[in-house]
Amino acid sequence: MDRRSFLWNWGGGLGGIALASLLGRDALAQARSEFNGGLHHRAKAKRVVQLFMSGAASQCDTFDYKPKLIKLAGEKWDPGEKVELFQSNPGVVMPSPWEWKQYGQCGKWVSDLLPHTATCVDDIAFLLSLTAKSNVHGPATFQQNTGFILPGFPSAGSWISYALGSVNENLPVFVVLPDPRGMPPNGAGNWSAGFLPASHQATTIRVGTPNPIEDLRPPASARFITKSSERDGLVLLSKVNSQYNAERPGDSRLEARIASYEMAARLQLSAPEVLDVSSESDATRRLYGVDEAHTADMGQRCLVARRLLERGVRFVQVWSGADNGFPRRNWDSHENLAKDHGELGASLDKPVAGLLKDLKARGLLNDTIVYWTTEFGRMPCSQGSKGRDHNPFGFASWLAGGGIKGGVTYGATDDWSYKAVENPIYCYDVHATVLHLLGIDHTKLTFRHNGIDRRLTDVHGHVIPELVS
Amino acid sequence: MLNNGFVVRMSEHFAERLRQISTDPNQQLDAAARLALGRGLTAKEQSMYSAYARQYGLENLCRVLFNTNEFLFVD
Repeated sequence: MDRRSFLWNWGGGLGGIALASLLGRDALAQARSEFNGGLHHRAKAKRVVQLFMSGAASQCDTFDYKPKLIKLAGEKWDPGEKVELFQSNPGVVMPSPWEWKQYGQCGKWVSDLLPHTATCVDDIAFLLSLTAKSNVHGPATFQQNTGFILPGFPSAGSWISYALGSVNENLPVFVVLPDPRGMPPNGAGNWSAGFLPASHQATTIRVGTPNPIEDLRPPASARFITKSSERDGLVLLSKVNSQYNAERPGDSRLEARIASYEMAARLQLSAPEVLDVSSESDATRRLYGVDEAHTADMGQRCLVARRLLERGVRFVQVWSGADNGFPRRNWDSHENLAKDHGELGASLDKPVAGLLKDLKARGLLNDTIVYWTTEFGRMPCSQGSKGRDHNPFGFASWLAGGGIKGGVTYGATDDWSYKAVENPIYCYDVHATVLHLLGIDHTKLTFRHNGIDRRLTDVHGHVIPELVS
Repeated sequence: MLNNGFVVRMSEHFAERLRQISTDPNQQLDAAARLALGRGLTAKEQSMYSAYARQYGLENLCRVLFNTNEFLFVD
């Protein structure tokens, strides 16, 4: 008798039964048709695309217009209290290097960094009073993704996958399209399933590379692997694993493993089609900027995101920017804001606007939530002569589609764009609102882990009614 | 786990190790199970695995073994 059977059967088999029940998990929830695909109440949205600006995109250079910064440019900055910065002492008042204009019927002020996005303001709800619990990239990026500043918690996409399940069994429920320059801080931890069943972690697709989905196919160099050895090997594996799993009911990891092989087999067929954008019209390609050098990457990824969404992927997360290294490859513009924010803004402005317009034209925006966010903002004072340091006290996000009221602004910072003073919120409130639109009550979507009924929103979060149409 | 280059290479190395242990297919299979799973195989398993190994070779058998939940998970 081997160790495993010994442990399993000791005590008349009670050990095994106890283990199985300890491993037992809540039955996977599924979207309810009587709730229009929601879980607890009627859903307005069915899917989400999140655009994550890695490195901290500056609110006072995008959506938070403050004439005071222009008026007092160059003067010593004194907000009347000690300012907690990340790596500098407060510099002088530094207005945005970009001019500002008003757009749309709502008259929203948007900087010249994002003129294409600005044409969509009447579909967008701007959130200008976000705050974060950390001014350090890693913890803050975890918080925006999982609701906690510590690693090990499930991301929003994983919670939604767990809550609503799949629409298209040939594609993953949760897909991440990282920046080709590299992973953001925390890497795959940002889209981890945490303690939820492992099948809810994201599938990473590196759009534009020769091998977008890692290890989807056997290495060409392994000559002992053939089509038939694959086919029969998977059948054998499935038989063996099913027998093994039947003796260990309730361990979701085992089931997730079987599911992942089946998904991989389906992905081998479905992935090439969804990633092939050559069938898109010239007009669509122009809309996203796919064929212009500076927008080609984001354009292609936003276009692939739309294709994934329309084929039933529930949560697509597109990253703008990689890690915080130097030379700068994300939004962490400590040294040269005009150059680094400038390049990133130009790379994504047209593609993001294109995505919004394309979703709208295809009738998808009504039930697709578009969620633009970042881990924190930047200070209105200078760092060095041309940079901005971290600001977790007041920053911007926006939402559009899926039942979100367009042309509105919620919350405000002070005259400096320093601190959120009117309706300060955390990402918990955004998450609660997003879940609400998906037909999920954020207080009822729980998972028992280590004796706690865990939530994406922890013990926080309120749905923001002003955002819901 | 199925297609990763490391697992594929290890399948080749493990197959070579089994050939060093014995030239008899039944003994090779028994050694494979004892080394990878810590136990002998049931008659039914022996029949399934040896049919597969006969048709597709030891490397493929080892690759399947490395992908079983029994190999991958600690109870």
